Amino acid sequence: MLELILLMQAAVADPQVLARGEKLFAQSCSVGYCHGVAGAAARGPRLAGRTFTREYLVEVTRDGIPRSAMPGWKGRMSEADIHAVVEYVASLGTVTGDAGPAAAPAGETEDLTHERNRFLESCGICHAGRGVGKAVGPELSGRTEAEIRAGLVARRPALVKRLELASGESFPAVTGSDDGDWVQVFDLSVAPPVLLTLPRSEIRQWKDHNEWQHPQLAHDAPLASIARYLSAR
Amino acid sequence: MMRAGLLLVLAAALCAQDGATHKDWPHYGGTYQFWRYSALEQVNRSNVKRLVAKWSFQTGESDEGLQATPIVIDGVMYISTSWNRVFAIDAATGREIWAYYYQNPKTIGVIYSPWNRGVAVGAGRVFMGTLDNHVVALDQKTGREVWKVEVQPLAQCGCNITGAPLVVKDKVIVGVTGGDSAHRGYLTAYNVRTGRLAWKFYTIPGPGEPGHETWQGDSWKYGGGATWMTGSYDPELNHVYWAVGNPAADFYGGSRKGDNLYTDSIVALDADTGKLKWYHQQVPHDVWDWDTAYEPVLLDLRVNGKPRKLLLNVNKGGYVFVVDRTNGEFVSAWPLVKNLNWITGIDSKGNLLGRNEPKVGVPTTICPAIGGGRSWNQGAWSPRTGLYYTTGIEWCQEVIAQKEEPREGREFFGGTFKLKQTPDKDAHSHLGAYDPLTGKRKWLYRSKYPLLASQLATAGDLIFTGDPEGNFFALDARSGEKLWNFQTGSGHRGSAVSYEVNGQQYIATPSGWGSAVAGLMGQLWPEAERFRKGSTIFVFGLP
Repeated sequence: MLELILLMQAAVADPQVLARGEKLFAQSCSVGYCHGVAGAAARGPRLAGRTFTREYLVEVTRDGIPRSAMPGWKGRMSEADIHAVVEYVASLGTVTGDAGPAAAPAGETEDLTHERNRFLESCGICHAGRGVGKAVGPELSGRTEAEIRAGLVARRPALVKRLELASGESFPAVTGSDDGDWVQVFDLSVAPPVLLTLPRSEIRQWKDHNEWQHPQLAHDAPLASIARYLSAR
Repeated sequence: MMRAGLLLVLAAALCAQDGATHKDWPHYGGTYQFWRYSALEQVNRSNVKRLVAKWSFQTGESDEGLQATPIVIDGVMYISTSWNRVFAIDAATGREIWAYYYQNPKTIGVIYSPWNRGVAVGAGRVFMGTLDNHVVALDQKTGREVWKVEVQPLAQCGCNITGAPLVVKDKVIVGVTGGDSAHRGYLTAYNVRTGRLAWKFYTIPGPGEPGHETWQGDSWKYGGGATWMTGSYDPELNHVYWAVGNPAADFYGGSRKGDNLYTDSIVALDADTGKLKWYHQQVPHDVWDWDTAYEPVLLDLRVNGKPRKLLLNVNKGGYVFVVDRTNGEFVSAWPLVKNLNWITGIDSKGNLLGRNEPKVGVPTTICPAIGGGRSWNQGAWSPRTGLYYTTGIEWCQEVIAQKEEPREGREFFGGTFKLKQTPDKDAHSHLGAYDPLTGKRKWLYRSKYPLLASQLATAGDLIFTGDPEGNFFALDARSGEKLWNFQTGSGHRGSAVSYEVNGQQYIATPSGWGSAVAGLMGQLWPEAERFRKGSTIFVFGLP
């Protein structure tokens, strides 16, 4: 009896939510080789005709499945859209569990994907910021446009040295990890930086680097947009 | 006089094209010419029945099977698996020499994963592209990481690397996926020793470059054009040949009106600079996801009595294109499959006739299905028989296009598809032997399920390949007759190779079912959902 009630609950999804879910599923889930149309078998598992708990569907849609091609949609889709997709997938098979909140929770954050991407393709190739990018140079989270600009034009950033190898070759570099026999360094000769793993014996010396400047691609980057991303709450 | 004669003979020998492998299998396609043909003949039609298993190697990583091509150099085999494991193995005994497990993030979040199709070896390094879009160089002797560089942030482009790199002189050339993402494709080359970026060729011309006018508005920024498989190289012309994939969105072209260069094209690039020498576009303004992504095969053949340097390429739409590789001039095209309705034909200049395009919101039956008239598994060419051996798949699909706005680095497909039977209710697959210029068929081997493994041709006049049910088998290259079969226990999606150690010829094959196209099979063959995964290398030789 309880099971019947749960099943009935599952069946009363809002038709508008279902339609939204169906559209989102077609655009984001049954694309290419992932899930097939209407949950048919494809590269990803068949969803049609299967039994899931709603909690599982929400969790997998929101957070993805580690070590699989299934991405987490949190941050890529609003909570309301995730809910709509779950309702649609639920309609393809049998689902147990509560319908959950249909409305988006408060505090849905602004979509700064465009700004994040501008960061990733410029500063982010050498700097981390808000959990993305490469931690070669200093972390940039929270920096304002003026602060970024000041850092960008500063000659001779303290971190960048000239590394001289035993072979006589030398290049601008930043130190990475060091486990005694093997040393990791970032070669900054050309963007993007190259992480080298060198035997200690190959390193002759580290020297100050008085001429190093940020590469042109950093100067050309849309800094206002990037600062908006870095200083977002 | 005598001296002049000798010089002439020498010159002729130097000019003769040798795309065959000998003791080693040094490149992804065997040699730079991508023949997938071994000159070894110890194993041949008369003794192949006596082949026995010599050793096997379990990689321990069976997620989506084993899709790679082993590289063999000086008795050592190098192979990569899903999730970017690399192994160096004693090619005579199967003993592990070293292993390298790349640390990927827990989730990749793009559809192009978690497989890897192979490594490249050169300059004392083993090179691999990774699921999180990096290139790593390992020490060939120890497997220790020497350098690592990020190609482009995965989160930004929705692209990564699953194909094998190609080493040419002092550079390692690496292609990326991303053809079904809102992304602008490219090919990059890195210095083998330092990892420094040497050149980058965008497959979609930017503002001010020729070809840019073939894209509407901002569509060039999101137009796909992935370089997800491996190219070939002509040392004499110093051309690197690479096949460029489909434009994005795949099924909806309404917001990218124009030919969309250089998607669905073969591009010839200067190996040193990455500068475009010529291109040949197979499918202008593609709305079917007909990647020109597969291997460019370099053949020197006579056309109407005149010797020509040619390039053969199988398009995913089921047509085989042959062009002149010195300048990209169209030579011929022929259909590989019977079920083909997206065009009615191709004229003598290479133009597509009678396009049957998907419609927005209305189902259209398109044959072949999206998995292709052939998948990315590679064919083989035998200079002994003069035949090109490749697989084909007879299947159809129902496509519904949908209008979509690009979201940078995100899925950008522009429609959905559902596999469908062929009109004569006979979806199946085949392996055929063809005249490379005309497509005239010598023989055809029929398979119940799509054949998704590469072919290996040998001078023993044998064709080796595997099927989804785990059979690894040898056919007579001249008749197509099955001469030998071995059940490896899991389906075949990789590429067999042949090599020699201490006077013994070996035939090696990856075995392990998986991949995107393998996953789609369940829509037509429900039992395929239960095909067992695996990830093992099997190696055979005469007793």
